[in-house]
Amino acid sequence: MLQTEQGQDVLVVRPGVDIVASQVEQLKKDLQALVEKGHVHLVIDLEGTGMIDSKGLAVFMLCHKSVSSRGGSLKVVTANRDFRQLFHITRMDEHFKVEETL
Amino acid sequence: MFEIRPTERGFEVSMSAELTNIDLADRRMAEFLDRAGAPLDRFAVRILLREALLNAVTHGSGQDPGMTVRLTMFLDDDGMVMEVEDQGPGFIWQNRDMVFDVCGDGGRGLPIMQIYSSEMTYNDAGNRLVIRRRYESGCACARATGRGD
Repeated sequence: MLQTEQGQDVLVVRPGVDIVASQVEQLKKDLQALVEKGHVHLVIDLEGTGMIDSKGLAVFMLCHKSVSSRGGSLKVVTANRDFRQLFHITRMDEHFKVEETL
Repeated sequence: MFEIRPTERGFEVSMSAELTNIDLADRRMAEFLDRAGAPLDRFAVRILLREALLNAVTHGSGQDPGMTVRLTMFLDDDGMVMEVEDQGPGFIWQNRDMVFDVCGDGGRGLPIMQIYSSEMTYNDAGNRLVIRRRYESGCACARATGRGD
């Protein structure tokens, strides 16, 4: 179950698990449910996430496309330098913001 | 099924083609690297292991638990070597473009492995992959992409 926190204009989501192949199906469903409820400005905070793989990256892109098509936005927040580099070298940070802090 | 055996400078795993076994292999490798104290970029080795096994489990074996994926990993004088083999027919890796659609749903695994590895070689059939990551090669990402920090 995702931990969420309503900010002023955005919903902050903390998956709190590794975003890898064995976990992504549930995360994909949970994020889609939030978007369908009208939460289209999302911040995904990766505190508590220890690993991301290519299947996990695909979930971020799917979420980005889903909120963008509804006029929203996605931002990813992570203090993990390796994660930020992974978003950078796969050029995903050209499509949504990836920042160190909230 | 998940079986692990220590070898002289590493370990070998035989596992059924299931996604949760990738998590197990990742944990066992982290324990091995902790004990070995090797000067390797931990994240790079972890993502290499995960992507290599993910391809073998999903594309090579169709996530069929009746199929076996084998992983061999060891350290030598230059760095880490990992070999991943599945029982599938392989794929025509020679024609595979390492450029991926940034907005696409898939196709990132091979480019990620190429970026984080020092060397990466498939056998002719495409069902056995050997990856090398040299010690102290943290700048491999910058070299491969020109997009380093």
